[in-house]
Amino acid sequence: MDLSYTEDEQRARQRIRGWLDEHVPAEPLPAQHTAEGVEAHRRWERLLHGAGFAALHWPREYGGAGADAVTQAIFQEEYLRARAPRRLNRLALGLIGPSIMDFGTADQKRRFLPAMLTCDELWCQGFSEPESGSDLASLRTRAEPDGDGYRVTGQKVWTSLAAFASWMFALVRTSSGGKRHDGLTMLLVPLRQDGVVVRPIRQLDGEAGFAEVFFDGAKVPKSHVLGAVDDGWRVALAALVHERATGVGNYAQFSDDVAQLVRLARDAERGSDPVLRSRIAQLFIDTEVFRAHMQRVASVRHEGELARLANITKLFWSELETRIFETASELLGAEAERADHGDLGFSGDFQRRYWHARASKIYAGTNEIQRNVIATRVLGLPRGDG
Amino acid sequence: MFADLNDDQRALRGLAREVLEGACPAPAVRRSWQDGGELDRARWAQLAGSDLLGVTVPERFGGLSLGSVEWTVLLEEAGRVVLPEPLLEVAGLAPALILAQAGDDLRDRWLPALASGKAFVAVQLRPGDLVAHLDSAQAVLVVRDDALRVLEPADLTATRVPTVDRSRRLFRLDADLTAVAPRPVPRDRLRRVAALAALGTAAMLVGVSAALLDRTVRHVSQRRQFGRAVGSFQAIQHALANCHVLVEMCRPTVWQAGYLLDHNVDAGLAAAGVAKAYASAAASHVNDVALQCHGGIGFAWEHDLHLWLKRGKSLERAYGSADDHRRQVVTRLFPDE
Repeated sequence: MDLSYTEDEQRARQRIRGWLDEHVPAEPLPAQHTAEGVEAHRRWERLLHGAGFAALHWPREYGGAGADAVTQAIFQEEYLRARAPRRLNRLALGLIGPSIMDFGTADQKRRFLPAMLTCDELWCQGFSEPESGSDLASLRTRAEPDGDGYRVTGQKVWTSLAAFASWMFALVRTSSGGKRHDGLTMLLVPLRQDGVVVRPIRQLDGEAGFAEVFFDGAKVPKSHVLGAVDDGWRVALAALVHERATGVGNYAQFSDDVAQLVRLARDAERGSDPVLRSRIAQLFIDTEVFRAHMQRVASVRHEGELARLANITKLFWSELETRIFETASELLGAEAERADHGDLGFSGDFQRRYWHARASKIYAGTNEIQRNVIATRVLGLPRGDG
Repeated sequence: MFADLNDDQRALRGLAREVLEGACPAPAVRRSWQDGGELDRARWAQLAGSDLLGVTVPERFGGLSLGSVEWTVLLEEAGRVVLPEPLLEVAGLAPALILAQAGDDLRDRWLPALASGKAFVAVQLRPGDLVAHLDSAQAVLVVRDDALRVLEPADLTATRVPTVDRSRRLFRLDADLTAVAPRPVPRDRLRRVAALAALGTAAMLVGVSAALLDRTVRHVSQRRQFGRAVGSFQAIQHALANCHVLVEMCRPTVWQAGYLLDHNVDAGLAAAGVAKAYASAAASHVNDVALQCHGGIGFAWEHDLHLWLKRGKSLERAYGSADDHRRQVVTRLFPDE
């Protein structure tokens, strides 16, 4: 244990803070689910990339900064403090890029990684289907061999950013019979082609960040198979560990949210209510606990221990975020019903954050699935058929 | 920044676990229940022989000069085996109090003896607190009004109080404090000792919870109903997964508070309260789930489970409950009230 920052870490913080103070746009960018918003965020991402901040966690050989986990955490803290724009190509940077590093060929790494950093190519993740949610291995979107590649037919759903993405990281069925986990393959599917139709889905938070994506004989060259054919389940599981480990559960964000609750409570009439204050105090305790956990995660060196803690991370922050926003609603009282929420605090983003928090318990593996994983893989309890 | 246990701290954890599991297996705790939790001098000597009593005592007084993080690591292991002896007080609060006052005479007299296990002292931080193992103590360190008083057995009357956890040997202390000279201690140092008390209790609770979870996982993996292990039912699995999350979230919180109490006391006071609030609430939840998942057998006196259940309930409220510490957080967040 040593909670002090080294001189290198302090210098990194100063450099990050200095750059962000100088470059973060004064006005919020347009929303990401609009074409205008995507362009504005793309310009911001290129600025970040130029300064070497696009992917701190990527190794240098792939264009990242090769920063350790502590420096990444410092960046997250400073990014939040500066109220910098929401990141755009989150799935590419957090999950798909690292999966290509883990399983990709040299050609795939050269072809795909640089354009993720510049946001020239945006990516979406094609796992869930209408009939395959938590039971992911039951998926039915098929890839049939066709000449020098595959033809993909089927449907993916809950696909964030699909309207603007040019590529999908898609888990598809390549053979049936045998065990159902064994016939799956991870494909890098070009979305800008005939045979692909993207239909936006409006979400509970009012945005249309999701889409459903229909494939009708879409073409994928053989060279775009990630990992081995019929070995996609292993690639998907590794990707999910990246997803759960990074997530959007940023402790600096939650600490900031709780600080806002405290400020609101000091001002608002309802804020002097002891029951409400007790709830806020509990949230303060929970966010402190989460910060300690995330700082531990950033320090853990052992891969197995890291994977073991990843399931806890997602479970904990998604439920904490919901509690924070339920308490915020309580504090706002009747005002919490309003849809015109610009003045309700939380950077005018109250309703979106509230409803998005509700989604976080579902995506990246529902919290029930996380509990199953903890019970069987970490605690070693017998499986359901045992 | 490194917010995990380092190799030395992991080694200490391994040593403490090995020594404590050897010195204090469940049958030994049962015996302690039968004899009213009397001090087991052989066991105490064993802990001393492995240098576990002087973890926070400076080297020049015969200790290991380690910090509060290491101390919490040791106490988690003591909680795991529900050690009957008051390791928290004798090997933590007593040295901290003696180091917090200025008198060299007290340091020279007590610190080497505490580290070597030759001396055994009791501690009372607040008026009315029940005092552990008062009958075996050569001295009692009593804190009142920004001062420490060292009482000898002749200065006091000890009245045994029956306890639900029969291996916790507690006494009511009666003494005429005006007869003993006070030794002034700066108020911030006393606050740090109180925070250490809360934090050490939190660490022991983590050990109790971890042991309850381990035992319950073993039980539900073996116990069969409806032709399958009860631990294969999702209702049981999810309840235990939640317990696992709680225990794992407690650990770094406790370690960080230990670090801060040694490096940045103001932050440490707050962090220790957060740790105790969280660990107490977590322990209460794990306690409930452990008994529920054991079913009827867990409610039988003959089964060992209640040794952990009852220690857990005692420690949840010792040195401030979850509510007490949350109240402190309210006061810090809303200082105007």
